[in-house]
Amino acid sequence: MCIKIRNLTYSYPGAKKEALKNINIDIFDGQLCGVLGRNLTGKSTLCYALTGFIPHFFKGSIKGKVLIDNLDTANLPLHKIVTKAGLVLQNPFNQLSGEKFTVFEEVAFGLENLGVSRNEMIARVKEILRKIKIYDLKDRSLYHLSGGQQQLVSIASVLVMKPNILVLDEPTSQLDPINSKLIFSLVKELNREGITIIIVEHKIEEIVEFADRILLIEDGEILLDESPHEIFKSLKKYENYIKYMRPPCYVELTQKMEEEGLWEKTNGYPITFDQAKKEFEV
Amino acid sequence: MKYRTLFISKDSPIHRLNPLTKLTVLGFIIVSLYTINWIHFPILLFFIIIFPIAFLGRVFKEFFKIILKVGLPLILFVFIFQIIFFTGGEKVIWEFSVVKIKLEAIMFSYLLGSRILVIISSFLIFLLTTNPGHIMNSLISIGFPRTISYVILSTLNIFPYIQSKANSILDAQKSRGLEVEGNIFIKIKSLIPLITPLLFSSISEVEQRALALEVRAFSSPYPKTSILKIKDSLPQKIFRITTLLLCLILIIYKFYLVIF
Amino acid sequence: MFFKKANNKRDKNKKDDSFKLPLSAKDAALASIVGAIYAVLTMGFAPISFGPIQFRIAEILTVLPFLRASTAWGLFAGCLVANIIGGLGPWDIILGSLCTLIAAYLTSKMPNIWLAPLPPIVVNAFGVSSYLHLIFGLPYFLNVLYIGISETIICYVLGIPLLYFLKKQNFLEEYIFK
Repeated sequence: MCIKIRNLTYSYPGAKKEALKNINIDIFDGQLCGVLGRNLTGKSTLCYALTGFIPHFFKGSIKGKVLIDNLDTANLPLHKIVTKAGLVLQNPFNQLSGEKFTVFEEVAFGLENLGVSRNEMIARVKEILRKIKIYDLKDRSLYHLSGGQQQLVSIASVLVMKPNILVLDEPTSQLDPINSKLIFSLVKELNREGITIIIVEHKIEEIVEFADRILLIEDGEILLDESPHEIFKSLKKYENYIKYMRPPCYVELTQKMEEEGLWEKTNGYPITFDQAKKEFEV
Repeated sequence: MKYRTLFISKDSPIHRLNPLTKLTVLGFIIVSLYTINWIHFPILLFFIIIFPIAFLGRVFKEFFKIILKVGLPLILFVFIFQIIFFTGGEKVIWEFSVVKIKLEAIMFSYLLGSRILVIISSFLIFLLTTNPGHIMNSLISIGFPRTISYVILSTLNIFPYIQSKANSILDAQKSRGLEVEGNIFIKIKSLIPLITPLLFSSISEVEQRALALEVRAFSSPYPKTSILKIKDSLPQKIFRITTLLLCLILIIYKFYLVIF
Repeated sequence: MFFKKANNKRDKNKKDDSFKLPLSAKDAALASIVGAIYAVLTMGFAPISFGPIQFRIAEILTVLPFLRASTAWGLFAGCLVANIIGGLGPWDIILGSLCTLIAAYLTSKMPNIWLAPLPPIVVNAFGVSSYLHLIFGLPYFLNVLYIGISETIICYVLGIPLLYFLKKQNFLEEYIFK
């Protein structure tokens, strides 16, 4: 299962500027793709395109196509696309359906809409709650959960429909650091189990920990499409993009130390804490 | 949650009944109130049937509290209103200055008041002993539209969130010098600076919520299933059908009396 | 300047089918937010929002179905929820909400902005008075007058400016329903 975007150009209805300009990417099965960039540059638009909401939810002018599993999203109805690619948004509260009172019922909401039988629903909900480790929350009231817990419930209610692709649009931006870490470790775990992940985030230190690939978007175009290690190999490489993305703090630190003559680059700048530790071990 | 939906989660014979059964009983009570002409019928219904059911449902304490707070003022209002404004009738039993309290007025208020009492209390017991999600589920099974049940339940759930939003908008306006406390006219004047920000800030959220709903296949054309299983039994089904037939008989009886 | 004639009529090109069931996700989400706002406004201006002598500020929202018919379902839900939370009698919960729904549906069908607040006034004045008369024995025509006047004040005096303002801002088209 993979996603292919071919020559995608899109502008929102009534907008003069194009939100996405001639995007061409292939995302392979099991990849973990981080999407970075400044605000309002098309990251969310890309998320909508990857999950079929462009063209089905957001009308507007579209050129080009998006293929999930070699099927054109323009020809698939939305309720079929969501079983292939799920979308998780920023605000945990706004993703709660509103119809349900307990966590268990809420996670089942999508399956109810798809007409899944009751016995299968119960089995799948239990399985997902156990996987995400929120099984003990199953009878809790949704509106008395913390933001982080609500976000986990949202992820559960998307995963329960068994998509192979999960797109997350800044899932931790409204969460505190502890809950953010929870979400990131969950994302890592899910990717390890084979789910293709595309995650838009600003917390670059977290993303480079496990992303296979970083996409940098600016003004609707993809400026960079490489592995994190490649990007931060040399100052010359990434200094062109400093305007659009902040490098991980370890890169900044070692680069400054290199300038002062306190450290010598042998294998590229360390981008994770573990790599940095290795650099300074005697 | 307890004050909001009135529902109190307990285990009792009344809680375990199917919501449709309870609604049928409610319907029967209302039909019988207005078809049976005996003046003491409502009050008897109240003490012999409604009181014990409140006990059985283990919600008697809350039931009594709400009846006192809401029901009694209403009934008092009816009494006073009818005593003053009742036209017709001649048997004056008490008189001070211009106010003539007629016997017919008292009888009328008694009938009206006890009917109101029965209606309020039976509905109250229903709401106290039935989960709102289950109510909607049962209604859907007899044809109530699913998207509207969604709108009703989510209005209920989003209510506290919108309330806190309105409060923060009022706080923001207050810090800019808008008066919000005080008499009713001041409150009304604070309305426009409250409504427009509330409406506009909620709009972007509408899009997000709609997106989230679509992610969960809200618009899927397949027939929906439910994770809730509402218990029903053959005796209850038979009970419902007989009760509905009884209602029909009472209505026909009433028409018969009126016409002949 | 405020009462530009050009904006008065409903745009004949765009037919508004949003009342029809089943509601789309956008309409359902909109309706629930409108309902919640109605309920909050009703509770915020309690106790005058309740009782046989009502002055319900939230009724200002009854102009919304003129812009988008699906908000009629939101008003129905909001009225229902407000009446339940407010601890009213089942007559208000069921019959009052039905009156609100019928009035809102008629508002969505009104051809121009000045007729939009009329259905809530007429339907509530005659409808609510009917069941208040049957249940409480309150004098019918007095109630019609009283409810008619209070609704007129809220829906015309407060509602029309709100409607004009929203229409000028292209309230719903701009944000959701392109």
